[in-house]
Amino acid sequence: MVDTRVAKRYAQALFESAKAKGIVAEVESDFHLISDTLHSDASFREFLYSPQYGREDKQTLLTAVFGKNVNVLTLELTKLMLSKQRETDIPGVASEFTRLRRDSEKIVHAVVTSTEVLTADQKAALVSRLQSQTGKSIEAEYKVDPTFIGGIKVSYDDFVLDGTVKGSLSKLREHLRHDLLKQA
Amino acid sequence: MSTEKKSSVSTGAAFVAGVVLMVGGMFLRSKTEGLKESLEKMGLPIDLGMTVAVIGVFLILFPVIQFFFITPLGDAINDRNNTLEQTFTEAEELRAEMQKMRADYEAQLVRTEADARATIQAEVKKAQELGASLRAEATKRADEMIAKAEQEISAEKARAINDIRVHVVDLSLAAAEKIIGENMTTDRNRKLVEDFINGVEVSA
Repeated sequence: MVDTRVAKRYAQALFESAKAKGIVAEVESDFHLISDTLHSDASFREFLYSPQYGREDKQTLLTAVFGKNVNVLTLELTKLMLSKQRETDIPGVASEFTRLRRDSEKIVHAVVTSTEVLTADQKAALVSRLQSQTGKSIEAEYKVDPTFIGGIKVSYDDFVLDGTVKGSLSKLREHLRHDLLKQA
Repeated sequence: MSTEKKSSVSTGAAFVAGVVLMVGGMFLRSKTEGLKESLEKMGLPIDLGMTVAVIGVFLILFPVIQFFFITPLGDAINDRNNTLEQTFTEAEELRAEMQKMRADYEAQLVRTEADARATIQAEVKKAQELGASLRAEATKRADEMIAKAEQEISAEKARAINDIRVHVVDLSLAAAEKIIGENMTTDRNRKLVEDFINGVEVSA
């Protein structure tokens, strides 16, 4: 079971250490590599999450798989979490670390969803436009959702900028329903 | 008291007169043999002396007859008369009492009938009032129910019409979504994206 409070504490400690050593980007990349592997590799995930296997075995496997690919700080913290039986909080630490890094650099995380993959020019123009509008640095995460029919949708913080056909039709539907309710 | 004294005097006088008449009659018979024979010859077999003597004996025996026969008979008659009078009196009293009871009964009956009539009229009036009240209440409730039903029907009708309109809107938008989806091309999508990028405005 994921404990967000625990993940936040680990992430906070890791971020401060990484920031002090100037390896924030490297540690973030490492943790996302481990988190993505946990997400994509079911056998690895089952082994790491299973209470049947000992902590030493899990630490040995982790060292064997990621020892040469990740920073020492990342590896040590991961092994520490394994020794504390907090392996299920690793993905949470990764996302929390990213949030801390963005807060520290005053970067706005924006999720851009489009019906087709955006071109590099489109991405650059969009980020530029959003940065000029918000006055903040934008870190965009791109997704594709064909159900939007056409257009693009941007979500950041508590805001949603919906330029999709599906969104426009939904707004039209709500307007019409509102008018009908007023008539009734 | 005076009646008894008077009766004893008359009885004594009758006894004396009887003795005188009996003795006189016997004497007269002995002295009137010729007259008796003359009368028998004339076809009248009357013995005057014997007749007077018999009258005297009757007068002597009259108190006895009176004592043993007439007086008890008179007493019995008087008792009978008294009994009859008492019976008649009682009968009259009973009849009067019966008449009085009948009059009372009839008066009571009249009063009872009047009371019953008044009670019936009062109950009828009360029932009529209650009926009118119930009818008014029922009419009021019926009117309220009808008004409520009409209101509900109207609301339900408006709701149904609105549901139909909403359904029409959903169908229209679903059709529009389908048509737009079928006609959406990469160029059109790119145009939409570029329009969005150029026109996007972020509220502070």
